[in-house]
Amino acid sequence: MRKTPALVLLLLPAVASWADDPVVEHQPALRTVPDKPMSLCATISADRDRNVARASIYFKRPEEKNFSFVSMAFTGVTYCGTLPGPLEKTKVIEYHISAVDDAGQSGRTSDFRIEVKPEGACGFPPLEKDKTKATAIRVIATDHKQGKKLDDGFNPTGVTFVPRP
Amino acid sequence: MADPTDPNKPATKDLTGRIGKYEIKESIGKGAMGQVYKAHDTVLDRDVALKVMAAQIADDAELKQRFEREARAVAKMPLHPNVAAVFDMGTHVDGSLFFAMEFLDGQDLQKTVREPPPLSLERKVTIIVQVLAGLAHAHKAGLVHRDIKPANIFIIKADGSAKITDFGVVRETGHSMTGTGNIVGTADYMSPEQVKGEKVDSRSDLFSVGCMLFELVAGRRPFHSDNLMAIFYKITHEEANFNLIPQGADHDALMPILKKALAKKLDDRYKTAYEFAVDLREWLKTYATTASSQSVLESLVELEAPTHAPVPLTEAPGVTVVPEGAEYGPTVDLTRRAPRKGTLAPTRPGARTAVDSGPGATVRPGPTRLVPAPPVVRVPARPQPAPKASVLPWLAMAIALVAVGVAGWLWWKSQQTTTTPPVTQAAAPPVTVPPPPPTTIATPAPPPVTAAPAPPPVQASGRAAVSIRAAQGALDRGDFDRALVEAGKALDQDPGNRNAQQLQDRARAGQRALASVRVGEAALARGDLTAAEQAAAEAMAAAPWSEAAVGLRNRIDAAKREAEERARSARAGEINRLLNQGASAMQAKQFEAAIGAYEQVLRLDPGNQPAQTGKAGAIAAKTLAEATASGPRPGAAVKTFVPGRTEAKGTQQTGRVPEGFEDTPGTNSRRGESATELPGRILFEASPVAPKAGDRFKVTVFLSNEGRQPIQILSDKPTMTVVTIVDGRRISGPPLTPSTTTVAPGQKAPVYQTPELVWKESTESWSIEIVLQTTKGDTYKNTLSWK
Repeated sequence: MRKTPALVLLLLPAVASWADDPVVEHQPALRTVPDKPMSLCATISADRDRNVARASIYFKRPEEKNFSFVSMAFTGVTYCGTLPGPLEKTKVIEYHISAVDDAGQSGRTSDFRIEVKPEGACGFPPLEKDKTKATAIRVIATDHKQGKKLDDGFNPTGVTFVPRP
Repeated sequence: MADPTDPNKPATKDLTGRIGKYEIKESIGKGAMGQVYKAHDTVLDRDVALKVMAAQIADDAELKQRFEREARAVAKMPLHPNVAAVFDMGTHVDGSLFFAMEFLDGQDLQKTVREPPPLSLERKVTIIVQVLAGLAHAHKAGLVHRDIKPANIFIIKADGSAKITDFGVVRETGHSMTGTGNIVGTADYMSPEQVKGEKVDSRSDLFSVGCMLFELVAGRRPFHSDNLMAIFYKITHEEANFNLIPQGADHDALMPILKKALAKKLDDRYKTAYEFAVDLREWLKTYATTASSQSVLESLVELEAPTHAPVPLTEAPGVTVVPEGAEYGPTVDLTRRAPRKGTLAPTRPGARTAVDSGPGATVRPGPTRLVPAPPVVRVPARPQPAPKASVLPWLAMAIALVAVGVAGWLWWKSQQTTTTPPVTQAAAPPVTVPPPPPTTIATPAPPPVTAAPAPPPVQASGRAAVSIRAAQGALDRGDFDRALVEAGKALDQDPGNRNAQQLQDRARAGQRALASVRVGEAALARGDLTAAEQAAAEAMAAAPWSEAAVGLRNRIDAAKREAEERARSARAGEINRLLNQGASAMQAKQFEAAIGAYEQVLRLDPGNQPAQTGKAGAIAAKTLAEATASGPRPGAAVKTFVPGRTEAKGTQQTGRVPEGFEDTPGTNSRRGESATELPGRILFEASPVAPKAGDRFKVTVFLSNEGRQPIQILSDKPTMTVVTIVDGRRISGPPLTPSTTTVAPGQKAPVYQTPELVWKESTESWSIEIVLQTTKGDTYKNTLSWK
């Protein structure tokens, strides 16, 4: 009888691990235009009886070492986040989407690349249409080496940069 | 105190919207003290005339007080058909007073006489008689109108009756109001004592009525002039020009009445409105030919005989007109200051000035600041003109007519004593104050029928007195058999006794009513409302004053209400049953049956939203099923979006099942909730209703309010939860803010819409669940599933 609780305790981690990680389904954006903030959305699901705790878009220029990220907001069926617009000199943006459920398990997409093309050369850029969101972008650094400014490959208009302490 | 003469202050407030429970409809004119609006009493559901104090006097405590007294004075007076009723009084948010009066449809006498066709003489007299009836009533209540003029007499469009309006300057006798010496009234119709600023009593109103009668008969005002001071002089010193009265026997017969009404000396004038009216009644008896005048004649029998002396004299401080050569010289002093010869003294601060604003102008309170001295008005002193030779025959005729009139009146009085007993104090109000017309007291829920005023008790005297009293007592008790016996006894003793005859008639009417009531009661007992109604109508026709008849009428109304309630309840039950049937049929994929059930609901209640939604869903599902059955993929699963039931959870645990909600399809109420608290339903619209792989689709979520109060969704913070479950995986996140925060009764409003999504072929199951919270703490939850 005394062994039963110990057995349950031993089995608990195994039971917890039976739940799947959050799944992030995302139709990647391929191209965008310079200077204009982008909106990226994903369908993020958690395993039964769990909820998505947070979701983020990590992004950087290929030549940069560290990612910055923006939080994604729940819209009812999807999660969406707004990235700062790339400057004209920025040719490519790398990004992926990551999510964590309320049990701390995480899931993410592959790394995607968005090419920055002049306006007209890009059919359906994923532009942020909500002006409020486009002017209230909060970019968070992941490393203190990123300094106190937004990476200079992006348009800082409407962006608040949060450095890593 | 604000300066009431401020030129920047608007003359009247142009109000819109609501004042308390009154919804302003339109401005309909100005009274002596303010603007009058047509408004709607939203509580009692009736139109009223709303009188709002003028902006200039909003800050004047004295005028405000007078305004208040106007309403109170009239309101405390019992209703009378010839006096406009006052219903209510209150204070607007800006501090100005208002009161609600009976809304009258018609126009004032001033306009009536100006418009074709011209009034006949007997019509004019009947109007004056009605005015006198109203005044007799007001005087009896201790009120003097003090501003009787054609503009204050309203002729009702429907029946042509006259009502006295605008007790804007009414003054309770015995209550001194002003000390500032201002005249209140209309110059052309003012009495000499009003002009002189002497004490005023009810006889002052009779002088004004005399002026009106003169104007109606002669076509001109008796003392009119373009100059106010001249009007004052004429009123106090000159006789009206009776030569203006057209010739003819009927007009001649009015002459003594007019002269008596327009007598300068109080003692020579009519003492009461009743006395004045009785003289006019004699005239009508002789000259009236039309039915309406006859009707007025009949009503005159019920005219309230005065049971009091003339309403006591009160101070009416103000203008004093002093003829030249008199003690104070020729100055017209409006302010009662020490007069100066040859000049009109400027008004002192705080005093008021009588202002001549043209013919027929109302003398209104003047400014309280110094004003430039107006031109001196010198009124030449002249002796009372001696009667001219040509007037003498008229005078003789008038005296003769007066004598004839007096003799006739005395004869009539003696007849009244023997044939028509004087109306007693207790009897007078029911006879002369019928209930206000139904149109003015229309309310959403009609009040119970009340008995018409019982006929006045008769005053017994003479040999038959004992039996008459016994008959009256029996009648009062509803013992009509006994009353009949006693009345018969009285008639045996005094065969011509009219009182006994009346009692006998009433007793018979009561017996007939009682017989009909018995028939009606029996019909009511067996549930035959039609027969009961007929019997009640007969009873009411026989004796509207019978309490038994009224009781039957009220019991029938109650029975009808109960029957209607039962029918409504049965209909609601049937609708619920059919909706359940439709929902069950849908679950069993019996779409035809579901459509049929929903259609039956819609026949009973064409606006029923669950039935409309259900029918649309059933038709879509049926179409899809048919298309799939005949399509290229036989055997493929046909799936469609299917809404669930709204789960409503209230905060109030009353321990009872909400009536009409528990079994209502679309709502899964729980025990212990109050239905009135939980009128909401979450509805979905999916487009397309059966998406296929690769289709773009979206879902809109609505909150429908089937209650009577708005539903307020909690929105001070995001509280709406949206959870989508796709193939067992949960897409969820923090609560959201709904796109609508208030849903009006009977409406539905979108609270959430998905972005446009793409239907994946691999999807096996898909659902979206919405949970809403209201400000009351109630929770609504529903799920749309694809299955």
